Amino acid sequence: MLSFLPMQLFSQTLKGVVVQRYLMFSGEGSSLTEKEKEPKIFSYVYSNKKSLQRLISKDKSSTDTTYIEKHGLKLSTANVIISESEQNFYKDFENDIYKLVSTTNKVDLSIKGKIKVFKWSLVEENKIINNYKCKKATTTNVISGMKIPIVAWYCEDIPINDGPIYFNGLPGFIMEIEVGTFSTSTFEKLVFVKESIEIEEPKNGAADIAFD
Amino acid sequence: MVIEGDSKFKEIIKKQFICFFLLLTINSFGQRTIEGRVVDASNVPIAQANVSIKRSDNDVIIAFGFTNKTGYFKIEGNDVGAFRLKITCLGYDDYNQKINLEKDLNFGSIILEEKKINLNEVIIKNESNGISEIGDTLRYKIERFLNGTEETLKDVIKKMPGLDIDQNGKIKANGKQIDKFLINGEEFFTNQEKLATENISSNMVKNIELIKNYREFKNIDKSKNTGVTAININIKDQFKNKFTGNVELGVGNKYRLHSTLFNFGKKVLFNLISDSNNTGELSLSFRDYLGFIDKKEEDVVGEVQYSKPEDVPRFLVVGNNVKERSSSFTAVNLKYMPSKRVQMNLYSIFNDVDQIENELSKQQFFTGLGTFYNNEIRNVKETSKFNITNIETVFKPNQKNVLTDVLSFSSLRKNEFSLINNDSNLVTNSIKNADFKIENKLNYSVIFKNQQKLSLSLKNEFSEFLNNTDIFSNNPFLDLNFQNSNYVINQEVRSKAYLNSFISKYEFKIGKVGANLFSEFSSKGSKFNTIEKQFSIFNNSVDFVCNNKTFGLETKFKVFSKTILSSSYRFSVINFQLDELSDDKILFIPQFLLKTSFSNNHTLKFSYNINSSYASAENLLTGGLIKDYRSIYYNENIAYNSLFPSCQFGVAYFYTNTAKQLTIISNVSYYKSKNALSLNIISTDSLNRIKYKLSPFEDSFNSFVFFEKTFRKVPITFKASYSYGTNSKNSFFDSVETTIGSKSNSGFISLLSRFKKTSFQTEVGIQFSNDIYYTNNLSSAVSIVNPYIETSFKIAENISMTNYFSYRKYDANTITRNYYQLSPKIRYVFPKSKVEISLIGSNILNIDNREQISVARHDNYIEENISQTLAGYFLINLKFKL
Repeated sequence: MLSFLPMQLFSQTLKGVVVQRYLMFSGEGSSLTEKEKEPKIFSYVYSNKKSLQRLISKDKSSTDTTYIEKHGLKLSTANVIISESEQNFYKDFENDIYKLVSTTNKVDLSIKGKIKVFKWSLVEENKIINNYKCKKATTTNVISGMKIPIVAWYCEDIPINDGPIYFNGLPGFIMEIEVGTFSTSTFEKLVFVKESIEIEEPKNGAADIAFD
Repeated sequence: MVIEGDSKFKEIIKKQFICFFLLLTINSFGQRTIEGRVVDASNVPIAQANVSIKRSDNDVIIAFGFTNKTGYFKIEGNDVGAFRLKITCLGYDDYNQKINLEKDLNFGSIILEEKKINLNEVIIKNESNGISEIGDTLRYKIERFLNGTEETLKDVIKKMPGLDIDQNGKIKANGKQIDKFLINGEEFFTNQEKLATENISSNMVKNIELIKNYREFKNIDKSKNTGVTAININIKDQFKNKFTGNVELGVGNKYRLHSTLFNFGKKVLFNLISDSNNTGELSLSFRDYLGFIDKKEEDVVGEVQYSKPEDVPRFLVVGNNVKERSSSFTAVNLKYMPSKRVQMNLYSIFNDVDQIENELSKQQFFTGLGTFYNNEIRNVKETSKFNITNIETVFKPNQKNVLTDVLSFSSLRKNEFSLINNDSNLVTNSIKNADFKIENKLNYSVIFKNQQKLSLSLKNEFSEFLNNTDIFSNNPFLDLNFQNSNYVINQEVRSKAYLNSFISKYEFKIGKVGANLFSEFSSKGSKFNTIEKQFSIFNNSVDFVCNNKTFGLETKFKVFSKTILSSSYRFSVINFQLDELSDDKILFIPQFLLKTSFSNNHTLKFSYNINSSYASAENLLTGGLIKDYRSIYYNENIAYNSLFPSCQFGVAYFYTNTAKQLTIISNVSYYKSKNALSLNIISTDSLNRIKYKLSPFEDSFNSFVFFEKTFRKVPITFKASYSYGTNSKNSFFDSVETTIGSKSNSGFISLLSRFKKTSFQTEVGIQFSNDIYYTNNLSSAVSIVNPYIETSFKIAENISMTNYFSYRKYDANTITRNYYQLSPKIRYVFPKSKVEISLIGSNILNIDNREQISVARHDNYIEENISQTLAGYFLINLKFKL
């Protein structure tokens, strides 16, 4: 009968897996090579107003052949795929810190700034992602001078203001992000854990580059 | 860190900056600001809480924001009107408040309560068990639980953890019967779950959802907790918007012809099922029939329902204790949704059954002096035709108004012919019945401001009942003085009844107390006339009218945060009129229900209610009424204004934990009546005089417990249930008060396999029951033990096999019987074609008719019956899919 006693427990931590898929590159008319089509897998953890998204699929940089189709001509080029061996997206909402820590071809990089603020438009459109009922929201992101439409799918039932990569700021957890026609990041697995976890700010050999 | 100046590094930097971001923020300027500070119970600020302003009538968010480090939030909204402020944060309960956006609002401090339950129980994402829970919806990934041998939706549902189908074809979720059956989210197959589950093929089903707090189309209430549990069957897209179905033909030592036709469209749902067989299988169960005839009246106050078992066709109550049975059945279901405002749901059912019963009965009669026996050999032939047509139309012009009309027509014609041979007489007893009933119920509901609701309903009902009883015998009977040795009785019973009622309900809220004021004006009248050709002592003429004026109040409020007390107080003035007589009675009827959910999983309910019923015209006989060759009914002291008060106390406890896949249900109830309608029976060798008489006492006790658990490490689901009940009542034998009663124990234990690597699945279990009937020092008992094993297995890609084997042992006072049942079935699906062939064996160890024993208790006698039972059969069944 002990198991019938109400449990004085509540969830503190959310763990998950984020899958990032590339659809195409930003270069005009370029198509993806097989290597680039492979999704990147990240682990994700949120606890005590901090979150960390860490790359777990370790693809080494490689040389590959890609095709550029331009003016009806198909040109093959040898291309060097630069893959990160380490990539961490860290957010500390309490202290308003966003940090990207990565290692690419043994080159360490660490960029630190404030958490991005987006102006989201909520759209009355629903979609079920991995059994969670999600609502749609859109915004525009400017990357390298290009205006890129962003579509987010957030779940109101999970009251956490966070999402993949640097996205956040919706009235529910962002389950999926579509960055223009380039890539999507989706939470494929989510698990709630009762115990809270201390998330440490990621660091590597590089000094922080301030970015505001 | 060394910054290298090469181009590759620049490229990396550039790419990583893209991964970072580059965007300026634009702030919006609203007209009204909503601000406040969110803290926990100990006044510690809660940062990063989600604050949103939602429309009050739907879920649309118009503005949102987050709390900062100090728990402070400020949101700007452009719209004006009624909205809802919702604050959510991981680890805390949701906060909801109604707000009116006309000016700037400052809420000061808002306290969020810590969540007492694990969020896992609200939102479960557990791929491994195949069930996901989103809010109030539990979705089954059905393919996780199937092994490919399933043919119909029924086979599918029975394999889902937590779901089951009982012997009456009713779907049970965690041991409780579900309220609504939906197809693609629309209510369909009203009261016909059995039909639906046995006719929808397993390959049409995409997934199954169990919905708590389902909101019907006609429901305009705002509250989230509707208390309605629904099961939703989602159909695969390839079966939508076109006609699908199948035709089956089975030939063997018996025959079966069965066809189904479906069309699941966006605006129209259509279904036609027809069945014709002589195997004895029925398409309509007793529960279905009662569901059609005695519809649950949620709104009617003080309604007294009488169900007369003798008016129900025998085929519904005798089960398989028949020698032969053939039936033909047609059901049409049509749902039409021309717009978002209108829904129409029609069903019409035609059911014809012919059956023959052969029975040997040993009856032990009780008298004031002792007991005597009567032995009967009965051959009963019954033909019955039943039809019901029901049309429900709902018009909802907006979210605040709804108009509903339910029109229903039902008719039953049956002929029952019995040949009875007892120790002294050879009797033929012929009963012809013709009943019909037409009813219409019109309801209008409207919602005003502040959750006020007004609901008005008008109900009109008219019914007619005809019964001709003709008895012939070779010797005198019923102790009557027949003239010219012509031992014949021709009795005609004619009864007409009407009911008109007008009910109004007004729901409102005072603070946090929900209240409901209601009134009912009804008039119910019945004329009951009987005539017998030779004997005027069997002439009756009763004209009975009840006019009821009821006023009442219902209240519902939270005693503690998770405890709700509902109570209702009802005042009725009932005016009884019998012929020239008239009398008024005043009734006060209180009812209480206390419901506490001490977590999301545990619910405890206490209920107490007092009720009162009164006599019907059939009880107020002025002469005698012949029931059969040895029974006559009279009225001893039931007055037209007699009241039969009763009270009932119940406790129920539910525990469901989806994550642990564990369910426990238990309930206990006690019923007591002080002034009950009972009988005084004077029996002799040749005649029972049965007189309606007031009895000083009647009580009953029932208890029930159900347990289901699916294990994680062992691929097994364990289910068990046990129920115990007692019933005792004071009756009179030769005017001497006597206590008669019964005690019953019954239950089952079963293990269901959930193997993952093989298609072989099995269910092993044992059912048992023990019933004891007693009167003074005499008692009679029957016990049944029934172990069974059910297996299903996919032999090859296209061949599947199912098998059911059971052993049943009956033990009564003087008779014992063993009964083995074996029902194998092999199904072969022709590859890439629409044809299936099955070899069906049903109860093949008993191809010759076998006997079954049963014990029945009547008020003045106990009967041990040996009945011939339905013979087993084998068929070669061909199925063509459309």
